[in-house]
Amino acid sequence: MNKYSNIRFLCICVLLAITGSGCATLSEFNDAYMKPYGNKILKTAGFPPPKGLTDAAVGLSKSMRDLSREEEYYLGRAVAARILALYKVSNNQALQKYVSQVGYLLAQESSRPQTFGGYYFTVLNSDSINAFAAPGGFIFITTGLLKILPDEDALASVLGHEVAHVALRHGEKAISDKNMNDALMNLGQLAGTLSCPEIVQQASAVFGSAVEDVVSQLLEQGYSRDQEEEADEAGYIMLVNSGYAPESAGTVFNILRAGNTRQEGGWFSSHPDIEDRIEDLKDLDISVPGDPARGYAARKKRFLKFTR
Amino acid sequence: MNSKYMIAQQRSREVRNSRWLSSVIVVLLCLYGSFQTARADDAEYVQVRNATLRQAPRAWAPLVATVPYGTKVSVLEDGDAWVRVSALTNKQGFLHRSSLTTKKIVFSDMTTSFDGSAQDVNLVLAGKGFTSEVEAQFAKSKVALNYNAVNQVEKRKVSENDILRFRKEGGLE
Repeated sequence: MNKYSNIRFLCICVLLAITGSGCATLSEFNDAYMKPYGNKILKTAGFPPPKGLTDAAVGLSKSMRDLSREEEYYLGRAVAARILALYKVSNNQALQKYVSQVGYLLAQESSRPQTFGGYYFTVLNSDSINAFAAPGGFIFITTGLLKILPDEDALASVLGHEVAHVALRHGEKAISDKNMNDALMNLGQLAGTLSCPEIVQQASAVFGSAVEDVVSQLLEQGYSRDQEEEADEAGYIMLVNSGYAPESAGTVFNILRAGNTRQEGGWFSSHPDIEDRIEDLKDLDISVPGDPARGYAARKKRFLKFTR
Repeated sequence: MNSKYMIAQQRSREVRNSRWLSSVIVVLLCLYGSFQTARADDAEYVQVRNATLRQAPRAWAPLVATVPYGTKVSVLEDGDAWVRVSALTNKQGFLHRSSLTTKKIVFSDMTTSFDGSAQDVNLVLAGKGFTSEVEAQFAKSKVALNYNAVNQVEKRKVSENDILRFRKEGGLE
Protein backbone atom coordinates (compact mmCIF):
# COMPACT_ATOMS: atom_id res chain seq x y z
CA MET A 1 0.00 0.00 0.00
CA ASN A 2 1.59 3.27 -0.99
CA LYS A 3 1.13 6.71 0.46
CA TYR A 4 -1.54 7.66 -2.08
CA SER A 5 -3.72 4.68 -1.48
CA ASN A 6 -3.60 5.55 2.21
CA ILE A 7 -4.81 9.03 1.42
CA ARG A 8 -7.56 7.61 -0.77
CA PHE A 9 -8.64 5.22 1.96
CA LEU A 10 -8.67 8.05 4.48
CA CYS A 11 -10.60 10.24 2.13
CA ILE A 12 -13.33 7.64 1.56
CA CYS A 13 -13.57 7.09 5.31
CA VAL A 14 -13.94 10.82 5.91
CA LEU A 15 -16.69 11.03 3.32
CA LEU A 16 -18.50 8.07 4.77
CA ALA A 17 -18.27 9.49 8.25
CA ILE A 18 -19.50 12.90 7.12
CA THR A 19 -22.60 11.23 5.76
CA GLY A 20 -23.42 10.45 9.39
CA SER A 21 -23.77 6.80 8.58
CA GLY A 22 -22.06 5.56 11.73
CA CYS A 23 -19.79 2.61 12.44
CA ALA A 24 -22.00 -0.18 11.26
CA THR A 25 -21.95 1.06 7.73
CA LEU A 26 -18.21 0.71 7.40
CA SER A 27 -18.44 -3.07 7.37
CA GLU A 28 -21.53 -2.85 5.19
CA PHE A 29 -19.52 -0.63 2.94
CA ASN A 30 -16.91 -3.34 2.65
CA ASP A 31 -19.43 -6.10 2.03
CA ALA A 32 -21.72 -4.18 -0.24
CA TYR A 33 -19.21 -2.31 -2.18
CA MET A 34 -15.55 -3.17 -1.84
CA LYS A 35 -15.99 -6.92 -2.40
CA PRO A 36 -18.04 -6.83 -5.58
CA TYR A 37 -16.12 -3.99 -7.07
CA GLY A 38 -12.65 -4.87 -5.79
CA ASN A 39 -10.32 -1.96 -6.12
CA LYS A 40 -12.44 -0.15 -8.65
CA ILE A 41 -13.84 2.30 -6.16
CA LEU A 42 -10.35 3.51 -5.30
CA LYS A 43 -9.82 4.26 -8.94
CA THR A 44 -13.20 5.76 -9.71
CA ALA A 45 -13.24 7.64 -6.45
CA GLY A 46 -9.75 8.94 -7.17
CA PHE A 47 -8.21 11.83 -5.37
CA PRO A 48 -8.64 14.14 -7.29
CA PRO A 49 -11.19 14.58 -8.90
CA PRO A 50 -13.50 15.31 -5.96
CA LYS A 51 -16.66 15.18 -8.12
CA GLY A 52 -16.18 11.46 -8.79
CA LEU A 53 -15.62 10.82 -5.14
CA THR A 54 -18.77 12.67 -4.18
CA ASP A 55 -20.83 10.65 -6.62
CA ALA A 56 -19.30 7.42 -5.40
CA ALA A 57 -19.96 8.28 -1.77
CA VAL A 58 -23.58 9.14 -2.53
CA GLY A 59 -23.83 5.87 -4.42
CA LEU A 60 -22.34 4.02 -1.49
CA SER A 61 -24.74 5.41 1.03
CA LYS A 62 -27.60 4.53 -1.30
CA SER A 63 -26.31 1.00 -1.80
CA MET A 64 -26.79 0.39 1.90
CA ARG A 65 -30.54 0.68 1.77
CA ASP A 66 -33.53 -1.00 0.17
CA LEU A 67 -35.74 0.68 -2.34
CA SER A 68 -37.99 3.14 -0.55
CA ARG A 69 -41.73 2.45 -0.47
CA GLU A 70 -42.19 5.16 -3.06
CA GLU A 71 -39.63 3.51 -5.37
CA GLU A 72 -41.26 0.12 -4.81
CA TYR A 73 -44.50 1.70 -6.01
CA TYR A 74 -42.91 3.03 -9.21
CA LEU A 75 -41.27 -0.35 -9.82
CA GLY A 76 -44.71 -1.95 -9.37
CA ARG A 77 -46.31 0.49 -11.78
CA ALA A 78 -43.73 -0.41 -14.42
CA VAL A 79 -44.22 -4.16 -13.88
CA ALA A 80 -48.00 -3.63 -14.05
CA ALA A 81 -47.55 -1.61 -17.27
CA ARG A 82 -45.64 -4.57 -18.75
CA ILE A 83 -48.34 -7.04 -17.66
CA LEU A 84 -51.12 -4.82 -19.01
CA ALA A 85 -49.36 -4.65 -22.36
CA LEU A 86 -49.82 -8.44 -22.51
CA TYR A 87 -53.25 -8.85 -20.92
CA LYS A 88 -56.50 -6.99 -21.33
CA VAL A 89 -58.35 -5.69 -18.27
CA SER A 90 -61.91 -7.01 -17.97
CA ASN A 91 -64.58 -4.41 -18.76
CA ASN A 92 -66.92 -5.95 -16.21
CA GLN A 93 -66.89 -3.16 -13.59
CA ALA A 94 -69.16 -5.03 -11.16
CA LEU A 95 -66.76 -7.99 -11.24
CA GLN A 96 -63.75 -5.67 -10.74
CA LYS A 97 -65.40 -4.09 -7.72
CA TYR A 98 -66.38 -7.46 -6.29
CA VAL A 99 -62.86 -8.92 -6.56
CA SER A 100 -61.39 -5.70 -5.16
CA GLN A 101 -63.60 -5.86 -2.10
CA VAL A 102 -62.53 -9.41 -1.33
CA GLY A 103 -58.91 -8.37 -1.85
CA TYR A 104 -59.14 -5.35 0.46
CA LEU A 105 -60.60 -7.49 3.24
CA LEU A 106 -57.51 -9.70 3.06
CA ALA A 107 -54.95 -6.92 2.59
CA GLN A 108 -56.22 -5.20 5.74
CA GLU A 109 -55.27 -8.33 7.69
CA SER A 110 -51.80 -8.56 6.15
CA SER A 111 -48.53 -7.51 7.72
CA ARG A 112 -48.68 -4.47 5.42
CA PRO A 113 -52.27 -3.22 5.14
CA GLN A 114 -51.14 -0.12 3.27
CA THR A 115 -48.52 0.03 0.56
CA PHE A 116 -47.31 3.39 -0.73
CA GLY A 117 -49.95 3.69 -3.43
CA GLY A 118 -52.43 1.14 -2.04
CA TYR A 119 -53.55 -2.28 -3.23
CA TYR A 120 -55.32 -2.73 -6.57
CA PHE A 121 -57.05 -5.96 -7.55
CA THR A 122 -57.66 -6.33 -11.26
CA VAL A 123 -59.40 -9.02 -13.28
CA LEU A 124 -57.74 -9.82 -16.60
CA ASN A 125 -59.63 -11.25 -19.56
CA SER A 126 -57.72 -14.42 -20.21
CA ASP A 127 -58.44 -18.12 -20.41
CA SER A 128 -55.06 -18.86 -18.90
CA ILE A 129 -55.30 -19.83 -15.26
CA ASN A 130 -53.22 -17.31 -13.44
CA ALA A 131 -52.85 -14.78 -10.64
CA PHE A 132 -49.85 -12.59 -9.91
CA ALA A 133 -48.75 -9.63 -7.88
CA ALA A 134 -46.49 -6.77 -8.94
CA PRO A 135 -44.49 -4.93 -6.26
CA GLY A 136 -46.33 -2.22 -4.38
CA GLY A 137 -49.74 -3.91 -4.51
CA PHE A 138 -50.87 -4.38 -8.11
CA ILE A 139 -52.59 -7.77 -8.02
CA PHE A 140 -54.04 -9.54 -11.04
CA ILE A 141 -56.29 -12.57 -11.48
CA THR A 142 -57.49 -14.02 -14.77
CA THR A 143 -61.10 -14.83 -15.65
CA GLY A 144 -59.74 -18.33 -16.41
CA LEU A 145 -58.78 -18.85 -12.78
CA LEU A 146 -62.02 -17.27 -11.49
CA LYS A 147 -64.04 -19.76 -13.55
CA ILE A 148 -62.54 -22.81 -11.88
CA LEU A 149 -62.77 -21.50 -8.30
CA PRO A 150 -65.86 -22.79 -6.48
CA ASP A 151 -66.60 -19.94 -4.06
CA GLU A 152 -65.57 -16.62 -2.52
CA ASP A 153 -63.55 -18.33 0.19
CA ALA A 154 -61.37 -20.00 -2.44
CA LEU A 155 -60.96 -16.64 -4.22
CA ALA A 156 -59.95 -15.15 -0.87
CA SER A 157 -57.34 -17.87 -0.49
CA VAL A 158 -55.80 -17.07 -3.89
CA LEU A 159 -55.84 -13.29 -3.29
CA GLY A 160 -54.43 -13.68 0.23
CA HIS A 161 -51.51 -15.60 -1.22
CA GLU A 162 -50.83 -12.82 -3.72
CA VAL A 163 -51.20 -10.07 -1.10
CA ALA A 164 -48.60 -11.99 0.94
CA HIS A 165 -46.10 -11.83 -1.94
CA VAL A 166 -46.57 -8.04 -1.97
CA ALA A 167 -46.46 -7.59 1.82
CA LEU A 168 -43.28 -9.69 1.98
CA ARG A 169 -41.74 -7.76 -0.94
CA HIS A 170 -40.95 -10.94 -2.87
CA GLY A 171 -41.16 -9.17 -6.23
CA GLU A 172 -38.25 -6.84 -5.76
CA LYS A 173 -36.13 -9.71 -4.43
CA ALA A 174 -36.18 -11.02 -8.01
CA ILE A 175 -33.94 -8.16 -9.09
CA SER A 176 -30.48 -9.57 -9.67
CA ASP A 177 -27.67 -8.37 -7.44
CA LYS A 178 -25.99 -6.77 -10.40
CA ASN A 179 -29.08 -4.84 -11.48
CA MET A 180 -29.84 -3.85 -7.89
CA ASN A 181 -26.26 -2.61 -7.41
CA ASP A 182 -26.43 -0.65 -10.65
CA ALA A 183 -29.82 0.69 -9.67
CA LEU A 184 -28.74 1.84 -6.26
CA MET A 185 -25.57 3.41 -7.64
CA ASN A 186 -27.65 5.27 -10.15
CA LEU A 187 -30.25 6.27 -7.61
CA GLY A 188 -27.42 7.72 -5.58
CA GLN A 189 -26.51 9.90 -8.50
CA LEU A 190 -30.11 10.91 -9.00
CA ALA A 191 -30.40 11.88 -5.36
CA GLY A 192 -27.16 13.72 -5.25
CA THR A 193 -27.10 15.83 -8.36
CA LEU A 194 -29.24 18.05 -10.46
CA SER A 195 -31.40 15.72 -12.52
CA CYS A 196 -29.51 16.08 -15.73
CA PRO A 197 -31.01 14.20 -18.70
CA GLU A 198 -28.05 11.83 -19.02
CA ILE A 199 -28.41 10.54 -15.49
CA VAL A 200 -32.18 10.18 -15.84
CA GLN A 201 -31.59 8.26 -19.07
CA GLN A 202 -29.11 5.94 -17.37
CA ALA A 203 -31.52 5.50 -14.47
CA SER A 204 -34.28 4.60 -16.92
CA ALA A 205 -32.10 1.90 -18.52
CA VAL A 206 -31.16 0.43 -15.13
CA PHE A 207 -34.80 0.68 -14.03
CA GLY A 208 -35.78 -1.24 -17.18
CA SER A 209 -33.42 -4.10 -16.31
CA ALA A 210 -34.81 -4.30 -12.79
CA VAL A 211 -38.37 -4.32 -14.16
CA GLU A 212 -37.52 -7.19 -16.54
CA ASP A 213 -36.09 -9.24 -13.67
CA VAL A 214 -39.38 -8.91 -11.80
CA VAL A 215 -41.55 -9.53 -14.89
CA SER A 216 -39.62 -12.64 -15.80
CA GLN A 217 -40.03 -14.01 -12.28
CA LEU A 218 -43.77 -13.29 -12.27
CA LEU A 219 -44.57 -14.62 -15.71
CA GLU A 220 -41.95 -17.31 -16.28
CA GLN A 221 -39.73 -18.54 -13.47
CA GLY A 222 -42.04 -18.17 -10.48
CA TYR A 223 -41.00 -17.53 -6.91
CA SER A 224 -38.64 -19.74 -4.96
CA ARG A 225 -40.08 -22.59 -2.93
CA ASP A 226 -39.26 -20.74 0.28
CA GLN A 227 -41.09 -17.65 -0.91
CA GLU A 228 -44.12 -19.75 -1.88
CA GLU A 229 -44.18 -21.33 1.55
CA GLU A 230 -43.90 -17.94 3.23
CA ALA A 231 -46.77 -16.64 1.08
CA ASP A 232 -48.85 -19.75 1.85
CA GLU A 233 -48.45 -19.18 5.55
CA ALA A 234 -49.00 -15.40 5.53
CA GLY A 235 -51.93 -15.79 3.12
CA TYR A 236 -53.50 -18.44 5.32
CA ILE A 237 -53.26 -16.20 8.40
CA MET A 238 -54.96 -13.37 6.45
CA LEU A 239 -57.65 -15.75 5.24
CA VAL A 240 -58.45 -16.98 8.74
CA ASN A 241 -58.28 -13.53 10.37
CA SER A 242 -60.59 -12.00 7.81
CA GLY A 243 -63.21 -14.61 8.67
CA TYR A 244 -63.08 -16.89 5.64
CA ALA A 245 -63.13 -20.65 6.00
CA PRO A 246 -59.61 -21.95 6.64
CA GLU A 247 -60.40 -25.10 4.62
CA SER A 248 -60.62 -22.99 1.48
CA ALA A 249 -56.81 -22.92 1.32
CA GLY A 250 -56.90 -26.71 1.04
CA THR A 251 -59.74 -26.43 -1.48
CA VAL A 252 -57.55 -24.34 -3.77
CA PHE A 253 -54.65 -26.75 -3.41
CA ASN A 254 -56.94 -29.66 -4.22
CA ILE A 255 -58.15 -27.90 -7.34
CA LEU A 256 -54.52 -27.53 -8.36
CA ARG A 257 -53.96 -31.21 -7.68
CA ALA A 258 -57.04 -32.34 -9.57
CA GLY A 259 -55.42 -32.53 -12.92
CA ASN A 260 -54.63 -28.94 -13.67
CA THR A 261 -51.01 -29.20 -12.69
CA ARG A 262 -50.00 -30.18 -16.18
CA GLN A 263 -50.85 -26.79 -17.56
CA GLU A 264 -47.79 -25.06 -18.89
CA GLY A 265 -46.93 -21.79 -17.19
CA GLY A 266 -49.22 -19.84 -14.91
CA TRP A 267 -50.26 -20.18 -11.32
CA PHE A 268 -50.12 -23.93 -11.11
CA SER A 269 -46.68 -24.50 -12.51
CA SER A 270 -45.24 -21.85 -10.23
CA HIS A 271 -46.87 -23.40 -7.17
CA PRO A 272 -45.18 -26.78 -6.82
CA ASP A 273 -45.20 -29.50 -4.15
CA ILE A 274 -48.87 -29.20 -3.33
CA GLU A 275 -49.00 -32.17 -0.98
CA ASP A 276 -46.22 -30.75 1.18
CA ARG A 277 -47.88 -27.38 1.26
CA ILE A 278 -51.22 -28.75 2.42
CA GLU A 279 -49.38 -30.57 5.21
CA ASP A 280 -47.49 -27.41 6.19
CA LEU A 281 -50.72 -25.43 6.55
CA LYS A 282 -52.25 -28.17 8.69
CA ASP A 283 -49.31 -27.71 11.07
CA LEU A 284 -50.14 -24.03 11.58
CA ASP A 285 -52.11 -23.62 14.75
CA ILE A 286 -54.23 -20.51 14.24
CA SER A 287 -57.34 -19.79 16.22
CA VAL A 288 -60.34 -19.07 14.04
CA PRO A 289 -62.21 -15.88 15.06
CA GLY A 290 -65.96 -16.40 14.83
CA ASP A 291 -67.72 -18.98 12.71
CA PRO A 292 -66.65 -19.10 9.06
CA ALA A 293 -69.83 -21.01 8.22
CA ARG A 294 -71.83 -17.88 9.07
CA GLY A 295 -72.42 -16.00 5.85
CA TYR A 296 -70.89 -18.72 3.70
CA ALA A 297 -74.06 -19.16 1.63
CA ALA A 298 -74.32 -15.40 1.01
CA ARG A 299 -70.66 -15.28 0.01
CA LYS A 300 -70.99 -18.18 -2.38
CA LYS A 301 -74.13 -16.68 -3.89
CA ARG A 302 -72.49 -13.35 -4.65
CA PHE A 303 -69.34 -15.08 -5.94
CA LEU A 304 -71.42 -17.04 -8.48
CA LYS A 305 -73.42 -13.93 -9.40
CA PHE A 306 -70.31 -11.92 -10.29
CA THR A 307 -68.08 -14.58 -11.75
CA ARG A 308 -70.37 -16.81 -13.79
CA MET B 1 22.90 -0.25 0.46
CA ASN B 2 22.81 1.12 3.95
CA SER B 3 21.07 4.33 2.92
CA LYS B 4 18.53 2.34 0.86
CA TYR B 5 17.78 0.31 3.97
CA MET B 6 17.28 3.50 5.99
CA ILE B 7 14.96 4.96 3.37
CA ALA B 8 12.95 1.76 3.35
CA GLN B 9 12.74 1.83 7.15
CA GLN B 10 11.64 5.46 7.11
CA ARG B 11 8.95 4.69 4.51
CA SER B 12 7.72 1.80 6.51
CA ARG B 13 7.46 4.11 9.57
CA GLU B 14 5.58 6.67 7.47
CA VAL B 15 3.15 4.04 6.29
CA ARG B 16 2.62 2.78 9.85
CA ASN B 17 2.10 6.32 11.12
CA SER B 18 -0.40 7.22 8.43
CA ARG B 19 -2.28 3.96 9.00
CA TRP B 20 -2.41 4.69 12.71
CA LEU B 21 -3.62 8.21 12.00
CA SER B 22 -6.26 6.88 9.59
CA SER B 23 -7.54 4.44 12.22
CA VAL B 24 -7.84 7.13 14.90
CA ILE B 25 -9.68 9.47 12.55
CA VAL B 26 -12.02 6.71 11.44
CA VAL B 27 -12.87 5.82 15.05
CA LEU B 28 -13.48 9.48 15.94
CA LEU B 29 -15.63 10.08 12.90
CA CYS B 30 -17.60 6.91 13.57
CA LEU B 31 -18.34 8.11 17.09
CA TYR B 32 -19.40 11.46 15.66
CA GLY B 33 -21.57 9.67 13.11
CA SER B 34 -23.32 7.54 15.69
CA PHE B 35 -24.13 10.62 17.79
CA GLN B 36 -25.44 12.33 14.70
CA THR B 37 -27.79 9.49 13.85
CA ALA B 38 -29.19 8.95 17.35
CA ARG B 39 -32.89 9.69 17.42
CA ALA B 40 -33.66 12.91 19.17
CA ASP B 41 -37.24 11.99 20.13
CA ASP B 42 -39.95 9.44 19.39
CA ALA B 43 -40.75 10.93 16.03
CA GLU B 44 -41.51 8.69 13.07
CA TYR B 45 -42.58 9.45 9.54
CA VAL B 46 -45.44 8.24 7.36
CA GLN B 47 -43.97 6.27 4.44
CA VAL B 48 -47.15 5.62 2.45
CA ARG B 49 -49.07 8.13 0.35
CA ASN B 50 -52.12 8.27 2.64
CA ALA B 51 -51.96 6.43 5.94
CA THR B 52 -55.23 5.69 7.70
CA LEU B 53 -55.26 6.76 11.33
CA ARG B 54 -57.71 4.54 13.19
CA GLN B 55 -59.50 4.78 16.52
CA ALA B 56 -58.42 1.32 17.65
CA PRO B 57 -55.47 -0.97 16.90
CA ARG B 58 -57.23 -3.26 14.45
CA ALA B 59 -58.23 -3.56 10.80
CA TRP B 60 -61.41 -1.63 9.95
CA ALA B 61 -61.55 0.28 13.23
CA PRO B 62 -63.27 3.65 12.58
CA LEU B 63 -61.16 6.26 10.78
CA VAL B 64 -59.81 9.30 12.62
CA ALA B 65 -57.98 10.93 9.72
CA THR B 66 -55.80 10.33 6.70
CA VAL B 67 -52.17 11.20 7.29
CA PRO B 68 -50.16 12.09 4.18
CA TYR B 69 -46.71 10.86 3.08
CA GLY B 70 -43.77 12.29 4.99
CA THR B 71 -45.84 13.56 7.95
CA LYS B 72 -43.90 13.53 11.20
CA VAL B 73 -45.84 11.81 13.96
CA SER B 74 -45.11 11.46 17.69
CA VAL B 75 -45.18 7.89 18.94
CA LEU B 76 -47.23 7.71 22.15
CA GLU B 77 -47.21 3.94 22.52
CA ASP B 78 -45.28 1.46 20.43
CA GLY B 79 -46.64 -1.92 19.47
CA ASP B 80 -45.85 -4.86 17.19
CA ALA B 81 -48.45 -4.19 14.56
CA TRP B 82 -50.10 -0.94 15.63
CA VAL B 83 -48.55 2.21 17.00
CA ARG B 84 -50.50 4.85 18.94
CA VAL B 85 -49.47 8.22 17.60
CA SER B 86 -50.26 11.89 17.72
CA ALA B 87 -50.30 13.49 14.30
CA LEU B 88 -51.64 16.50 12.45
CA THR B 89 -52.29 19.09 15.15
CA ASN B 90 -52.89 16.68 17.95
CA LYS B 91 -55.08 14.03 16.35
CA GLN B 92 -54.52 10.77 18.19
CA GLY B 93 -55.05 7.27 16.93
CA PHE B 94 -53.38 4.14 15.62
CA LEU B 95 -51.24 3.76 12.54
CA HIS B 96 -50.01 0.41 11.28
CA ARG B 97 -46.34 -0.20 12.07
CA SER B 98 -45.65 -0.87 8.37
CA SER B 99 -46.86 2.61 7.37
CA LEU B 100 -44.17 4.26 9.48
CA THR B 101 -40.41 4.64 9.23
CA THR B 102 -37.84 6.05 11.62
CA LYS B 103 -36.08 7.56 8.60
CA LYS B 104 -36.81 11.20 8.08
CA ILE B 105 -38.61 11.81 4.79
CA VAL B 106 -37.28 14.87 3.06
CA PHE B 107 -39.09 16.59 0.25
CA SER B 108 -36.94 18.40 -2.22
CA ASP B 109 -37.95 19.47 -5.66
CA MET B 110 -35.96 18.05 -8.53
CA THR B 111 -34.18 21.30 -9.28
CA THR B 112 -32.71 21.71 -5.82
CA SER B 113 -29.03 20.99 -5.97
CA PHE B 114 -27.43 18.40 -3.79
CA ASP B 115 -26.59 19.14 -0.18
CA GLY B 116 -24.72 17.01 2.34
CA SER B 117 -27.84 15.66 3.99
CA ALA B 118 -28.80 13.83 0.81
CA GLN B 119 -26.12 11.26 1.58
CA ASP B 120 -27.56 10.28 4.94
CA VAL B 121 -28.83 6.69 4.96
CA ASN B 122 -31.29 7.75 7.65
CA LEU B 123 -33.16 9.89 5.20
CA VAL B 124 -35.65 9.02 2.52
CA LEU B 125 -35.67 11.52 -0.30
CA ALA B 126 -39.25 11.84 -1.44
CA GLY B 127 -39.59 12.28 -5.16
CA LYS B 128 -36.02 11.12 -5.82
CA GLY B 129 -34.68 7.88 -7.24
CA PHE B 130 -37.05 5.60 -9.16
CA THR B 131 -39.92 8.03 -9.29
CA SER B 132 -42.08 9.85 -11.79
CA GLU B 133 -39.06 11.43 -13.50
CA VAL B 134 -37.47 8.05 -14.27
CA GLU B 135 -40.88 6.59 -15.13
CA ALA B 136 -41.46 9.34 -17.70
CA GLN B 137 -38.15 8.45 -19.36
CA PHE B 138 -38.76 4.69 -19.09
CA ALA B 139 -42.22 5.08 -20.67
CA LYS B 140 -40.46 6.31 -23.84
CA SER B 141 -38.39 3.11 -24.13
CA LYS B 142 -39.08 0.46 -26.74
CA VAL B 143 -40.41 -2.04 -24.20
CA ALA B 144 -44.13 -2.83 -24.56
CA LEU B 145 -45.79 -0.87 -21.76
CA ASN B 146 -49.36 0.14 -21.02
CA TYR B 147 -49.18 2.88 -18.41
CA ASN B 148 -52.55 4.13 -19.55
CA ALA B 149 -54.17 0.92 -18.30
CA VAL B 150 -52.24 1.19 -15.02
CA ASN B 151 -53.61 4.71 -14.52
CA GLN B 152 -57.13 3.39 -15.17
CA VAL B 153 -56.57 0.64 -12.60
CA GLU B 154 -55.48 3.22 -10.04
CA LYS B 155 -58.57 5.34 -10.68
CA ARG B 156 -60.77 2.48 -9.52
CA LYS B 157 -61.39 3.12 -5.82
CA VAL B 158 -63.80 1.38 -3.48
CA SER B 159 -64.96 3.41 -0.49
CA GLU B 160 -64.37 2.08 2.99
CA ASN B 161 -68.13 2.20 3.62
CA ASP B 162 -68.75 -0.07 0.62
CA ILE B 163 -66.14 -2.53 1.88
CA LEU B 164 -67.63 -2.53 5.38
CA ARG B 165 -71.08 -3.24 3.95
CA PHE B 166 -69.62 -6.02 1.80
CA ARG B 167 -67.90 -7.46 4.87
CA LYS B 168 -71.11 -7.43 6.89
CA GLU B 169 -73.17 -9.01 4.11
CA GLY B 170 -70.64 -11.81 3.87
CA GLY B 171 -70.82 -12.53 7.60
CA LEU B 172 -67.15 -11.61 7.95
CA GLU B 173 -67.36 -9.16 10.87
